Amino acid sequence: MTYEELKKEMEKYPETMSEGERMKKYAAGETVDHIPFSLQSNEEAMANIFGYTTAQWRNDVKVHIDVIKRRKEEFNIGGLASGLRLRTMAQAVGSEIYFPEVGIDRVIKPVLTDYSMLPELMKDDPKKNPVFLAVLQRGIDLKMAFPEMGIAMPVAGPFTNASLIRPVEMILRDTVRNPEKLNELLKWTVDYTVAYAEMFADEFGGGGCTICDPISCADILGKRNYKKFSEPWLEYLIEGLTQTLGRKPGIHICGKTSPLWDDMLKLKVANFSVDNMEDLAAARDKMGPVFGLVGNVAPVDVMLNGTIDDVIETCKQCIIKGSEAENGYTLGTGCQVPIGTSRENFDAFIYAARRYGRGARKGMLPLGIAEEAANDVVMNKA
Amino acid sequence: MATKEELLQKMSDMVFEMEDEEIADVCEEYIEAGYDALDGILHGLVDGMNRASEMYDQEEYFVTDLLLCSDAMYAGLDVLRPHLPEDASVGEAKKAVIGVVEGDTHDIGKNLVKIMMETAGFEMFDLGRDVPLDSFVEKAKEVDADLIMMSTLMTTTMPGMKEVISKLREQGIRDSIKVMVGGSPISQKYAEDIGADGYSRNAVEAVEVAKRLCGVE
Repeated sequence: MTYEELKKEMEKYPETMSEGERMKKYAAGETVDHIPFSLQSNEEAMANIFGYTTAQWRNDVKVHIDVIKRRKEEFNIGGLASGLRLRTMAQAVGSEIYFPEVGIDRVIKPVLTDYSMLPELMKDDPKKNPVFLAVLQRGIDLKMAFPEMGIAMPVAGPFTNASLIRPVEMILRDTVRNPEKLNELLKWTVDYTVAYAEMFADEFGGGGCTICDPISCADILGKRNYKKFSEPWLEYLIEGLTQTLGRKPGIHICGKTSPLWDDMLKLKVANFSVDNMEDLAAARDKMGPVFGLVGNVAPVDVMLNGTIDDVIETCKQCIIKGSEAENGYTLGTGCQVPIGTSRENFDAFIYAARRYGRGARKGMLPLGIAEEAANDVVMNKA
Repeated sequence: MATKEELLQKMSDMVFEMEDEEIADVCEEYIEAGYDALDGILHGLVDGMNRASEMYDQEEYFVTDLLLCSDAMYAGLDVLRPHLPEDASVGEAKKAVIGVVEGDTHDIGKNLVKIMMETAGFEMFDLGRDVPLDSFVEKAKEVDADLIMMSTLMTTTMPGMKEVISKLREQGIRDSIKVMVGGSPISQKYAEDIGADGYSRNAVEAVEVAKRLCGVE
């Protein structure tokens, strides 16, 4: 399908509800215009589409506001975020971060190369930390520009934070050689994170939260260390966030997580965002009875490098696999939408949600899928 | 006094069980008893590492375990290596240049691949992380490499891998060097799209692919 054809096709499937209305009704078990969708951390990719560099979006609040404004106008996607992105805490406590002109920031030099430095680091008051205050201020500015939009806060998981504060290879060795110090570091990352949540709640009165914990995956940590070092602190973080923000957070863990699913069922989160490395149908069967599910269109192979038709077909397959999840399903990407993802592919994703996800209801295949399957049967018989 | 076989078994066990402190003493004892250093490496240390990678394949061992096993292996190697005869048959080893492409500093995956490749007998030239694309080509030419291995964790730096392949082509050496790519955003499909020879999901599998590409075993 060409982009022109896609734009014409989209007109056949108009949205008839606002995002807020859709989410509320879907959660209450009512039928909605189309399945809720979530394009994970899309602001950098959107900035790129609108002709801004990542640095402009990051450093200039006017650009940030323009990105949100145009995203709403051109894609009808709303929502604000003001929180601790993967490297924010590491930056706040002194890890050296490189912020490229275009691209995702990365840690150049983790601050904690020796545990003797930890007591000094722990003296820092998060509520006076300039990095945290700047993040909060950005949220305040955005909320002032878009008072009608909800604001949420992402945070990084304990093990991820720890691995950006202390070199990850040292952390992995710590699991055997220095478990007590590692636990001390992990606890501190949670306390520090929850302190930001308190700042956020004081300012905005609570809100949604997603925990991103890429390093906690089975590929890197393994089940044994997940149980020993990630799970207890994740539980502690979830409890702190839930109390502070007044609702359960969601969680996203990158990569392979299925070996951990039995254990993850214990986490008191609202939803689980499934990476594209995993089978969404298996996740639905295993975790659908407990969590809402989000996922899992491949960000690189499909969103970044796929065609319009690839995106539509993948979304359709995800809806087929995910939509019968007992506690609800949000069509989503398996991880952050990469910078460079085209306008065409964003539209293709939204189109697929509207067409195949139309008439969605929690725990059921949407009418979009059912009707088109029925039509296919009729057509074949004819 | 312990026999050669007993010491080899002990060295292998120590690598396998991540005992990186006492292993140097055992290696010293082995050398002092006059046993062959290369045998010690291959049938002691590397044997332990191979056992660890089998466990990794069976998902009994994880990245952490492989790292700690490799600490023990390298601690042993530090003792045994100086005792290798100068003409030890390392000349036969296949050579591979490895690095994380420019713009990316995540190197834990690359480091693991390097460890497993060394264990498998490859001679590795590690360019580190955030490696300028030309450096892959220059180093490969300089050491007459059989293989270039590139990794990245970031989508923004993925195109660099394709560029390296183009550079090899421009220099007329593409056909004589195999190229492998890996890293979280990379897939078999992406590897094929950019014309790489191989892709692997993890460090243990990388060795199998490298061996196949280089015609080893």
